[in-house]
Amino acid sequence: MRLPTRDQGQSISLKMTPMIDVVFLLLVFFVWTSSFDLPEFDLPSSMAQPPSGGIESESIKIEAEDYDELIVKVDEINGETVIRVNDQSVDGFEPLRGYLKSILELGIQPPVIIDPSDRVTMLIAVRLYDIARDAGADRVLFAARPSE
Amino acid sequence: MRVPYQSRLTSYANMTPMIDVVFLLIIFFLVSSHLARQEHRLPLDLPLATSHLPLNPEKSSLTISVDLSSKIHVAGEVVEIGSLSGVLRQYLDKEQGEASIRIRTDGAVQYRFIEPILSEVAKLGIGDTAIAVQEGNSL
Repeated sequence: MRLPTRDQGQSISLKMTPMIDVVFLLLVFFVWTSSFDLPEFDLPSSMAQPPSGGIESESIKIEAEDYDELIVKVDEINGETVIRVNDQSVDGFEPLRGYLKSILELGIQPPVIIDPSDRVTMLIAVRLYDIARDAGADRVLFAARPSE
Repeated sequence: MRVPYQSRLTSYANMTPMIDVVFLLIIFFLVSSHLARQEHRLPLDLPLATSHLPLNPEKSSLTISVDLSSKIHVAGEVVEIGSLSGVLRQYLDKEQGEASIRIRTDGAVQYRFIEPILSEVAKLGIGDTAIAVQEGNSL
């Protein structure tokens, strides 16, 4: 019996041009559609001031005694960040995290109010807010300024 | 006279170039719509946080951007703090109770420029407020 002969010369050669066309198209597509921006997330934020709808706004009562509320005041003096919790000085972000954790571990959930001064940037304000949330505080609020 | 005979081979349309062109058009429109969406974003150096909510691309909210020179941008337009209340009220009327505000601010902007915005939002009773952050630990 005679075996069927194959046309060897033509079937072996692969056509590169269409393949490169497709590969380039895919490359262009993925390069253009991919976004090199870092993903953005949402940090829920609220205000200490109750939404009364009125024009008047009350300033926050600062009470040093008890843990009715924890007021974290932050200021920048000579380029250094000064943090005070209920008028008690805390030196640094990590000690603040520990301090808040130790209070929250007592089983009470006082609202934590972040009160940055005028000079403080959002980078630091958000960092403090994040630390308070991370320490386990349910209610973290930004302080409102009394209106003039 | 003999009628010229049309060969069968040439009678059907060649589909390959048509599919090529259709695919190219699809890619073009996909890419251009994607780029148009990206242009909405004002490039800002956002603050960093770790306790943020998981990413929710389906949530639609009004984005208020505050740039390095403390200018407030809403929907691509610069808005003065005095007229922000009107813009928010308009948005509130449109959304019928499902309003949500997202504040994108540069990390170097001072809190005193953000506080009035948060105050305005709180005064109008919009509870769903968020600050846009990037993942990470600052300082």
